[in-house]
Amino acid sequence: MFELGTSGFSVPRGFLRAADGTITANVDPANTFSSNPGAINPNGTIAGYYEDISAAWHFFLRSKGGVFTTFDIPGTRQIFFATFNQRDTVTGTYPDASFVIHSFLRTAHGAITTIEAPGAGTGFFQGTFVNSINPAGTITGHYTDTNYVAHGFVWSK
Amino acid sequence: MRNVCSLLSLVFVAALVIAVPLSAHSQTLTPFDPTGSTSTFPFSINPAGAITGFYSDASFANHGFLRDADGTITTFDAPGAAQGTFPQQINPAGSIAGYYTDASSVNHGFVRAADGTIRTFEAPGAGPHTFQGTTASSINPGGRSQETTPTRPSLLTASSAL
Repeated sequence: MFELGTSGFSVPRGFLRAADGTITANVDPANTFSSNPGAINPNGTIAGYYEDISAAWHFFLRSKGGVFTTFDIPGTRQIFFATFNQRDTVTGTYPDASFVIHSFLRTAHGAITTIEAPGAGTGFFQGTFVNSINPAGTITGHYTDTNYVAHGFVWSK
Repeated sequence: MRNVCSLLSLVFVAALVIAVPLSAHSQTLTPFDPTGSTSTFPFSINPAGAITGFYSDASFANHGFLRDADGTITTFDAPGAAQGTFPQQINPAGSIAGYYTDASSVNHGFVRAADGTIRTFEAPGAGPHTFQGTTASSINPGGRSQETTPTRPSLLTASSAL
């Protein structure tokens, strides 16, 4: 049993807390300015995102042994959310340069699929937000339409 | 020869036309909203495909919902949830953990069993005042929930007794 979190008020960094209370500080990729390790799966792998010292945003996976895999989604201005499942399939949400919101799915092999709800608006802070993924890779989230009304969705591939 | 080239071109274009819809249909996105919803926010999906979250109605009241994999939606409110019910997570057994806000803006934890039974609970040390209380955030496969208390930012674990 592990718990994840961030430490630091203005510049959050990741930490890992084992069931016995042992805390591993700064579970962050190299050159991290701030990070958010948002999820841990039963294998002990962590998924999250971070901002590097050049103010660029990236996603990461950290294996139980501490090996990092980082990846980028083209067009990412910032990152709002990332989670994953037992198969290391990552899903996340990010705004583009116009602050329109998009989401994606990334398989353990690195294949990326964008997730765009057909009814999602394309204005400022409108778009598709993911919230949760199950072991089969089915995703739920919501999208905001052109009137900023939020609707639920379930997505599968 | 010219006819053969034309035929091949036709076959190529037809293949493209067929291929595009196949690619588009390899993904399925199904929108849903509970009846009466003006905003819907799903938060968690379990291995069976059951989804929980909350929605707002036209009176700006917030309610919990459960959407089964077959699309059936059940709405619910925790007892005493004057200012909203906010499910956070659903486990493989279909138990849901979340919190609700009472008339004094105090938060309390709840666990909803798969049969619809709702139990409420308080984390030890949770404050009794506005914006204090218990906010359950997750539930493990055994039905134990984790909750935080805003007045004491330590992570506690308590049995949901389900």
